[in-house]
Amino acid sequence: MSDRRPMQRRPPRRRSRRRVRINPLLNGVDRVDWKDVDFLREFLGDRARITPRRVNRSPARIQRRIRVAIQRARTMALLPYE
Amino acid sequence: MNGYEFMFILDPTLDDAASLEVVDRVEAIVTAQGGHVVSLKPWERRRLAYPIEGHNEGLYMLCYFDAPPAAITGIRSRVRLTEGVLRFIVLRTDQETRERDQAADIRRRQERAARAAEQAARKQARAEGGGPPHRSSSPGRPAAKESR
Repeated sequence: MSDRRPMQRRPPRRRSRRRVRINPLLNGVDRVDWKDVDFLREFLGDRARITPRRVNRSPARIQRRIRVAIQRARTMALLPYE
Repeated sequence: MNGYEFMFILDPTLDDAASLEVVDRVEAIVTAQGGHVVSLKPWERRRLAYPIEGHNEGLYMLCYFDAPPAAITGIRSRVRLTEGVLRFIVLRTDQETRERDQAADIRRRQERAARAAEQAARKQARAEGGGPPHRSSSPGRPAAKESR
């Protein structure tokens, strides 16, 4: 049998984590009021879809509240579905 | 007893008397089911984000009430059947949140009014002339050449 080259083991690559810069609009926000249409509108895209966390730069906790608030506002026709 | 936030949309084409009747009926429903109305006020007359039952605008009423939890299903079903009510939502809240929301609401209203007044004032000033000409009235810059 021919010689096989010993398998090279690559050093585990460290994933670079850039610090997420918080959306200034969301600074210190705790309660998301579904009646606050002006605030919520910022989080709707041009098709009135909820923009993802990536785009909003929002923490997961707040994004969940935003989603709930937007859905409530939509049922009360304060925000569009589309 | 739990605190609840309750918003409903009234048919905007009703005259004042009819609207008042509907509101009274809704209030009576809450009370009859064992609820205690803390506040019930008009919230806004505004354009709907989408048409509901053929209407494009509605009169929003915001109500806060306390009630035993068993009363809620009764309130919901009765309000749903009430003529004049186009949409409604009932949510749990507590005293603290309720007060904060009301304060925030008042604040937002003031801000909006202030902004509208400012815009109106600016428009007025522009109509009267004077001051530098608006950007749109001067010839545009020649388009930038592509760099290579």
